[in-house]
Amino acid sequence: MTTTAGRSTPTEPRPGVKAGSVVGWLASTDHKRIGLLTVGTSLVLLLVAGGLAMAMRAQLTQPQLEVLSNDLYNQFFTMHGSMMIYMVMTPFAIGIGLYLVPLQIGAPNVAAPRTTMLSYWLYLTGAVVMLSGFSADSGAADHGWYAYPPLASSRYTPGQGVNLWIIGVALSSLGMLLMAGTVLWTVLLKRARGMAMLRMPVFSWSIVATNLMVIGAFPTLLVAVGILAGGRVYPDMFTENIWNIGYQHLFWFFGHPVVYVMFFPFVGAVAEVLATFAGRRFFGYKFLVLSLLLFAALSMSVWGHHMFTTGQAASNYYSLTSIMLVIPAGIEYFDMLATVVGGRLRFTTPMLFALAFLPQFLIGGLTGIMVGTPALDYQMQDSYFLVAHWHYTLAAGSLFALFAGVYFWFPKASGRMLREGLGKAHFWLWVAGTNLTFLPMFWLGLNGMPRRIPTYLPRDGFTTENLIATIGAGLLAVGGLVFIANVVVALRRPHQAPPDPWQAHTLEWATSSPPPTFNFSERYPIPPIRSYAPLLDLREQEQSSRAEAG
Amino acid sequence: MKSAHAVVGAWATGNLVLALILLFAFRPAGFIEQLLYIWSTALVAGFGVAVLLATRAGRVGTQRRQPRRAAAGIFAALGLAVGLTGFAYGWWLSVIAFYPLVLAAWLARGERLRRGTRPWPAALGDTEPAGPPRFVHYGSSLGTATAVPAEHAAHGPPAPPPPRPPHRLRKAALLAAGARAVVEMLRRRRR
Amino acid sequence: MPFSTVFDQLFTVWAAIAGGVFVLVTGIVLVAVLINRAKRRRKLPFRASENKPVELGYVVVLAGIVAALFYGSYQANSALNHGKGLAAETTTPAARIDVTAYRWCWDFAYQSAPVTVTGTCTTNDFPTVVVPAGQPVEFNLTSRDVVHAFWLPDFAAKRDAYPDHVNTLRMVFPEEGRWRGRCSEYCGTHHVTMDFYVRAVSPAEYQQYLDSGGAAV
Repeated sequence: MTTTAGRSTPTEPRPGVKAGSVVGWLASTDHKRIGLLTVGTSLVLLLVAGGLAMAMRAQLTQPQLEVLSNDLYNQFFTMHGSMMIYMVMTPFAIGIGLYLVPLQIGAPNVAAPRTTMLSYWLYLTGAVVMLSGFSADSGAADHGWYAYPPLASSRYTPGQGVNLWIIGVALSSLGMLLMAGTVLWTVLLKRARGMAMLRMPVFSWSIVATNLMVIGAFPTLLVAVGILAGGRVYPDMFTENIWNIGYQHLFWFFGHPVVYVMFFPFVGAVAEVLATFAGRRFFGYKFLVLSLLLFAALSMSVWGHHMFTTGQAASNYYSLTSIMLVIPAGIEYFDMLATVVGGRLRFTTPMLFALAFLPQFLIGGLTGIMVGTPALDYQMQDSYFLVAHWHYTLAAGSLFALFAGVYFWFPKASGRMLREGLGKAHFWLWVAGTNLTFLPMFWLGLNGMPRRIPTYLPRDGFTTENLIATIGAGLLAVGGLVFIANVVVALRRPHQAPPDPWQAHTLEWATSSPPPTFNFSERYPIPPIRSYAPLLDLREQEQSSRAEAG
Repeated sequence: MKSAHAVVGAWATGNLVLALILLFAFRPAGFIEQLLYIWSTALVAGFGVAVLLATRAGRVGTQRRQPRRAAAGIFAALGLAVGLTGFAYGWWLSVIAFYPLVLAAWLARGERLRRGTRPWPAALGDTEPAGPPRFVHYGSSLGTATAVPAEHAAHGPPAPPPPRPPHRLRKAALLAAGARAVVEMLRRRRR
Repeated sequence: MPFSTVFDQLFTVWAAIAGGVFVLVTGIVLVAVLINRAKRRRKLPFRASENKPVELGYVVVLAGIVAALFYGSYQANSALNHGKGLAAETTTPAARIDVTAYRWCWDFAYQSAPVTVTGTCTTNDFPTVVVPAGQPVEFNLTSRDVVHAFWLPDFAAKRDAYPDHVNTLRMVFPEEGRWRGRCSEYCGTHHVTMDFYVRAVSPAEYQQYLDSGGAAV
């Protein structure tokens, strides 16, 4: 094994296997490959989870349909939620950080790349194990994505589905914990010369905040699923209240920070996209950095707002901390709006997604204040109002920002441009689809429709809103297909991407598309770093020297 | 690393303040909430201390030594997955998990190049290696610096020896050695 | 004040604030999109990349908003007696009812009389709990198996029912009538049909109901 090492030369480090082969990808130590594997896997699983959602919407189109049986519906919503949270949004958030952060801070690779690859494999096997529940006799897990005991104990939900769910969650969260740790280590210790902490791009800062939360919160999830595993073996322990309420505390202690894990990197992406296509420096950099860190630290103290109706949490305290989140969120919106107001806007596909993110996520945020108010939450909790709120933050918010990021960085990662026409079709379908699907759910919730019900009666008066929501979901599906077509076209009939197709600001655009093995090379060296927008600095310098000459 | 200290410090202080507010102003019924605060702050602070120690040890700046492959990671993950699946299908599976884990441990050694291996293994792509690390704390305490010894990492990598022309004989010998290593491995596994 | 009044008042205020903020932000974005198009502008509207006094002032404003919102939240929750119910804890409720949730229906037992109500929660066999209108009612919620939630959507009142734990929910039904209640914490296959009804009658009729041992009134 070590003999091959002796043959490597300074000009061309020889990997143990051919770089382009399947093994070259699956055993790679290149952060870009591991990042792309993670992000790609999560996008494939997004299709799976989206398909489950489509089936559920079909079932709810009209009252008393029988597309899915009760039990199958319960499995579908459980797996939809679990896949989206544990296997799609969180891995995408951490994976895109893994891909971009070393590039943005001028590092050749992530620290401890083998641990990072281990974490990808833990994530992948975790997803496979969780999904394999569908092949179990009793079907997949059907206890909801937060798996409250005693329902999730072996007494009330026997069968392998729940066991496989527990194993899958444990594996993939362990993977995400390790991956976040290596990326954070890279950010803190492996930056290029000149890249001070306060010269890091906004996106990298969002990843710092994200990964700090992962380190603070994910171990608690491992403990919580450990308790659940104990209850699978000794279901009697959940006859005692302390274990039930204790599990809820532990779970939400993870469960709220993870919401921001699924949000911050996407805010960072939106900030980069807005600044790039506004053609200006991001406004209020330092305040944004501070607000991200404040947001992350506060996220550790709001978990009880999921438990207002339990009668066993200090509701007013959690209401206070939840409402305090208005401060960092307000700063973020102020800075993003100021960037847009003070810019020359170019409306590319990523910019459209980023602009739509602003009002759409805002709906999620403002209704978040409502559900963070106990007196209102007693009505909204576990109703469709909550479902609507939650999907406005995650689908209308994070998912739009995710696609802003995908359209923005796809040329960098693949070396090919996506088509603008298809991208815009995708965007408009999704704007219409998202709002048609989730806006009616607010009314459903206020009118008394509980979440997680497989059907309803004609006299309930839920029919119209549900029909509209299903139509919207159909538009989302069509939009998703347009996106897939866009990727296929881009790969089949490539339009070559230049190193910097967007006139962007950060270091990853200084290198080739896709970047070389160790990110920067003689041909694409790291430019001098004097601020959080080094490429913009270069352009401004060029302009001013040209102005002087002319 | 001042900003990193500030981040972790502010994080811990902020959460401590919040925990105290919870404890004295809102009087929770249980103790779980306080324990969770302490536990998570300890986790974040622990990571901060690890970063601090690494900084003190001078492990800062562009990392040049790179592993070649991550097969050990794959086997470790598969082993863990099979082992944990034992929770659903019986613990005998963890016996099977033993093999990939051992294989991973065995592979892990060879995947990272030994320190000092020549030529410098991780010249970055086709670039010259970047300069010395950006920041090295070297001295008995902050503020009192001592001269950096000649072989210290702060001076950057030692100059690579002049490249030797590839020699067929050497190649053949290496190939033979490699083949023998494989045969050895297979023989050992069969036992 | 009943739950629903508190809810309606607070929700109106909160929705007005939310609507205002939404219109403001969306308006700014739309105006910027219209007048800041690269085609229309030759240079940036303004070049500054930060403005500390403005941002600091803004943070102070935000802190004020937080204080106001929390005050509203706290007041409303106190009106519901710190989330424990409506009537002051010192007043004795006119009816105390032990509610036991189980998969997948409800048991109601009156503390002052040997009357129990139950059902199967299948077609047309839902339990109806009879309560006196205009007087404080106390529900003592517990569960026989998993976590359920006692939800009266028309009154914006909800509390979870746990095994090995009793949650108390005090409320007033201001007028006579009949309302549907539901389980809102997902509890398994027949969660969807786990409904009950609350029927509020005049105190006299209520007494008659108890005296007759639960005969229909």
